[in-house]
Amino acid sequence: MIITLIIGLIICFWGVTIHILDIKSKKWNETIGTIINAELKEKISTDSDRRAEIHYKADLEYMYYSNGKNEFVGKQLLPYSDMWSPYKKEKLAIIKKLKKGDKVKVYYHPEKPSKSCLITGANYYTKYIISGGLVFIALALVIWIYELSQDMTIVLDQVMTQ
Amino acid sequence: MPYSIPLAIIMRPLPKTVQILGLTAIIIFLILQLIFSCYYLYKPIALIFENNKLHWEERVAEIKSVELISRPNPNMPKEASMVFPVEICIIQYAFEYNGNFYTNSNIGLNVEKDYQSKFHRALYMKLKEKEKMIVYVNPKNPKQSSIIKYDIDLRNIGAGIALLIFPILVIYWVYIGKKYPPNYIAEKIKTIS
Repeated sequence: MIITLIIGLIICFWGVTIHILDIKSKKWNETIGTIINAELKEKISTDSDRRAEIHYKADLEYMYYSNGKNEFVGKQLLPYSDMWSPYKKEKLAIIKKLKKGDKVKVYYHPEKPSKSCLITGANYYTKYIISGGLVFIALALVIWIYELSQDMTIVLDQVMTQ
Repeated sequence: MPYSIPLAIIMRPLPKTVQILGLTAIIIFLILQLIFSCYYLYKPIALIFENNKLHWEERVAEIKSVELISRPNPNMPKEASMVFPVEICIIQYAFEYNGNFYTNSNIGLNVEKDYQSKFHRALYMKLKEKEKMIVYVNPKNPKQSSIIKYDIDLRNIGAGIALLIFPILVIYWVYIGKKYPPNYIAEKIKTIS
């Protein structure tokens, strides 16, 4: 029960942290960058039943200048997580939109200009992470209720004597 | 290859059919889970409202007798049924309600729960040297009383929640999928022409 609860809390904490950081990144500085590379990457992984599953990622590279001086190369689409996902259509839509040489709006961290991204405050993957964490917390609650149901002292304590 | 064309025609809609069948099976499975979840969560709620229990009144009852009796174990072969007997705590109590005196022996245990000898022995030990205890009386029918007001089977609540988790998660994830279509992220990228 404790392990399930801890796993749930860690996943929730991870999701909430990314969500907060994603919202905070809306205040990052803006500049204009140039796409150097945009391609779809595939990763084939097999599960315990040896079933292959393909995950996709929009592999991006863009060049930008912070304060018009220092040149940086960014790879992040979202500020704090660029996740592999089996959602091919979404990655294809990104690749379709971005072509080599295209000018894009780049957001970079005001204190760490090397940290950048192309989208801020739109990471909806955190909703999947948080809900996944909540499932573990709910499972821990179920296990706790089952453990509690085995405890006969709860019923005995209801018998009040004088 | 004279059979290749008809076979291809047959094979082409097959994945679509499998997809529809799979989806229907998942939806039926989720609906069944929701129904069973509601059933399991309804059971403890029904127990609270059963016989107007919510409004049963508290009274002090006098313990007339407490016994721990041994009965043949129905789960054992006849020869061994009294070697490993089942112990049951039998209580007789009397109370006064609206000027009338009533006697009863109802503990109020949930019949769906499996109370073993260990519990009855613990109950006997708790009551054997006591003279008075609290009982709950149905004001509409004072002949109806019990020592334990609500003996909810927590396993029902656990099962109800457990069965609810998966359908809620699937519904929520489908909602996210609909809210954020495949081009959502791409549209957020601001290109400068």
